Amino acid sequence: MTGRPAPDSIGLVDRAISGDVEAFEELYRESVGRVYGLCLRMCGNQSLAEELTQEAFVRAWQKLPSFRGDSAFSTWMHRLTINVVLGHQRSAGRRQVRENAAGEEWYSDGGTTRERHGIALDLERAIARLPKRARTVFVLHDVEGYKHSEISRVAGMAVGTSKAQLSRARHLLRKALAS
Amino acid sequence: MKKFNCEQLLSKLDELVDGTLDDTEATAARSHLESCPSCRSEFESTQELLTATRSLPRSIEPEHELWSGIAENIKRQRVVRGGFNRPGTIGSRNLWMAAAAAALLVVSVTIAYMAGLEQGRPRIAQSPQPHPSYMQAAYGDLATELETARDQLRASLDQRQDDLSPETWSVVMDNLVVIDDAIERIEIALVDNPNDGRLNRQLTVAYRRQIDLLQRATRLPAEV
Repeated sequence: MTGRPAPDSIGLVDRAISGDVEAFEELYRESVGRVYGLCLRMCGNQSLAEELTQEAFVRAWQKLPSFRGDSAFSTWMHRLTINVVLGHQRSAGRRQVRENAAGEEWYSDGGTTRERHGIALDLERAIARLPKRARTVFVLHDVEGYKHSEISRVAGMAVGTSKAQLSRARHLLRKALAS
Repeated sequence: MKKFNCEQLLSKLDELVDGTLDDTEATAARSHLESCPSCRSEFESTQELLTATRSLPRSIEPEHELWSGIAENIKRQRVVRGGFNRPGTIGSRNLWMAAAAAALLVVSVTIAYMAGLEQGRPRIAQSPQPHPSYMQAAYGDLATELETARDQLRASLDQRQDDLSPETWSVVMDNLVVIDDAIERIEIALVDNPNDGRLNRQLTVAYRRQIDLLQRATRLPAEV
């Protein structure tokens, strides 16, 4: 999960660090799809994903001066987003606030910008219904391409736990898709 | 040649699909798949799942306009830029020593846990604990409170990630994982022995040590 910064992004980041909100908006436009997609899949709830996306960008604005440019802005933003979502999940704790609340499942509203068909829709639905930890590991490993050692680091869980949760997630998804 | 039965194959299924098995085990697994339709079906359905997953778009545009809320928040804050120091310039050595001290503290939990289990096994089997259900409930409540406190501190620490150097963050995270692992082992053991006072005590000790580490980490001065 690394990447060299694109020259255009470097210029935008430098301008944003110096307080140029328009430059930051360009960075937002470039990366909002990836950030929102990550939030949506990790929390399985549309309105919460929108809030977390906004929180991630506000946090990014605050933290931009610490961006050292040794990875792409998108990679840095991606990691920051994961921290925001995981932080929310920890603070929500056992209350399961709004996650997967009835009527807020993002894949079911037939939005024109993200229509899904057949197995993709079924899969998105099944991912959103996974238990929280299994969903987190599945999204990070199988959708986003993180290794177990990286998940262990960012999610604060043992590598063995990450593997066990992935196995659980895949088993539940196979079962859901077969039914 | 190494051979797998169904149970062994299924325990390695994810690693086989991900291509992370070593050659010897991969050969044994594939050999088993050739002769076992049931396991082959499991293998193929997992492959299909991954194929479908990889075809999902990683980018999804939000339905609502989110920028205006972000811009408003940014303007309200008007974050003062500058004054940030690069890593290694402020007391870096002291922070490392603090982190290392925290690491030593944390590792002791695992040792205590292991020692506790080793010493406890015979006695646990031979002598029932007094008022086990009361003790379990009391420890259970305490563990829940400690877990809540731990989660709140962890959320606070997350807010500070960019203030700490990657090295310090890594040391803290590595040691949180060590305790998480210990907690998980104790919780698994408690499933079979929910009234085991020694295990319940070890669980609360592990949570307290984790809280101690988190408190130390959240108090570290900014490094970057």
